[in-house]
Amino acid sequence: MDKNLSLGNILGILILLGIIIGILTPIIAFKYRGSKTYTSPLEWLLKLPFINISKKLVEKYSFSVDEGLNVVVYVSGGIEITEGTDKKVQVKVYEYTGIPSWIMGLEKTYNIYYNKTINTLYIDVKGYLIELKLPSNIVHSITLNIKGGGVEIDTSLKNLKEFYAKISGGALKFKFSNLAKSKIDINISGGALDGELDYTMFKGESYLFLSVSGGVIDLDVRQPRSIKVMVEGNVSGGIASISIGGSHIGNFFKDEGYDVAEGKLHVVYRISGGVIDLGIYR
Amino acid sequence: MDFPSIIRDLGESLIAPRQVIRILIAERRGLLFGFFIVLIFSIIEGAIATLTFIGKLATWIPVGFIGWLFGGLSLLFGTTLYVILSIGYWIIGGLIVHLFCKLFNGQGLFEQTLTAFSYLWLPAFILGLGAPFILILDYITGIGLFLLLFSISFIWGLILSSQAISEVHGFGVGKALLSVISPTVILFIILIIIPLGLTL
Repeated sequence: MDKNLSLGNILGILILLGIIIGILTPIIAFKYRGSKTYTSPLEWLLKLPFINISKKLVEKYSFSVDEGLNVVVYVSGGIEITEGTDKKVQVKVYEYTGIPSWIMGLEKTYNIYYNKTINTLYIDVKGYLIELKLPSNIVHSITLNIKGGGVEIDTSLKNLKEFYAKISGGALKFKFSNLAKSKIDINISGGALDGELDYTMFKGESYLFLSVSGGVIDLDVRQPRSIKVMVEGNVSGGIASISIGGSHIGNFFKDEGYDVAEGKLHVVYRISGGVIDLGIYR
Repeated sequence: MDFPSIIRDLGESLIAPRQVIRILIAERRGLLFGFFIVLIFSIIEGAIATLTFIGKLATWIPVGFIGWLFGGLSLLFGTTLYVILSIGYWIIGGLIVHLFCKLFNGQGLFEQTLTAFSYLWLPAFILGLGAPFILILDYITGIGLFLLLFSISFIWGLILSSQAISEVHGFGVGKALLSVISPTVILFIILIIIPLGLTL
């Protein structure tokens, strides 16, 4: 044992610190990493114990909306959509503090307004984090245009009839339950999507369009057995993994009795690059 | 305050590698010390490199199997592979260094060459200290910082290792430096020059 605090000992302690931090950091980073879609690429950093990054509330809005609400979102920052109270939409705009602007991007704007005449909420955000509380049972349609960052929809949106998502970067995560007759249209040319669609019994034909020219779609569809399914695919590149009840199917599949069924789900996918992993369960 | 001798040995290796290697050889614990350095620092380098180059990409892929494949497995396999390659480089590279040392009429033993050559990994502690910054930065900047720290660590390691080799074999630092960089040059020729020549 050496009792003097010499330069050698100080450097030795520094090396020891390097060893400890070098081993602990990957473990902590891996533990907090997961395969979760974060509302912003930097969101997960807020959860790391050694990072002092916080988000600051910039502005908040509250709108009284009508049933059959349409939501249009343009995002290259981050949006987290959660369950709101009856007929009240609440929007909170946050900005990150403690992160240099060259990391977050120099351009930061947000524009939020509600048009009562056409019952439509518009959100256009760049470089900010938006927290949006939506009353789940009154939303009729959602249109998303994601160019970066991420969108997480953590509410069931029970009466959703139309959902359009165009993703050219960033990530989208959602789970819609009690879906009835509806039209879901997802177009991805970059980034990633992780979604779940839970259908309830409905009459008529629901549509699910998936178009991938880059990026990744991982989508699980759950539906009652009485709803018949038709799948039409066109693969000119990329990887498509389509399964029904765990069995992989080819580019075309049609349930027996589809044409005369009361409830039908028509799935159309086109892939020219990237990955589709679609699982239909009943 | 009492400090374990290993802390002193590690710290003084950075400022007086000649003195420390003499002590290590005299106390016959050089090989164990060298193996400890290569193992610990290759684990650190491997884990940080895997997370920096591959793990960060997996974070943004919310597809279960791909995230799992690139995330969990890549960290395990990336780190294990890096450790195996590092130990392989330490032993085989050490053999090449030793052969060059003998060409320059070096007096040391192979075991002593390996101990001295292990100093190449020691400055990788700066990668450990910089790990939180590497991993919080965005993908490209993170890779940039990793490569910068890795380059500093490598050059610093070459200097320390050359001094230690020079002490062990009893010749000048110039010859020692040539010996220490010989495995890197050979690896560069095998991996870059020959494939490039074959494709042209």
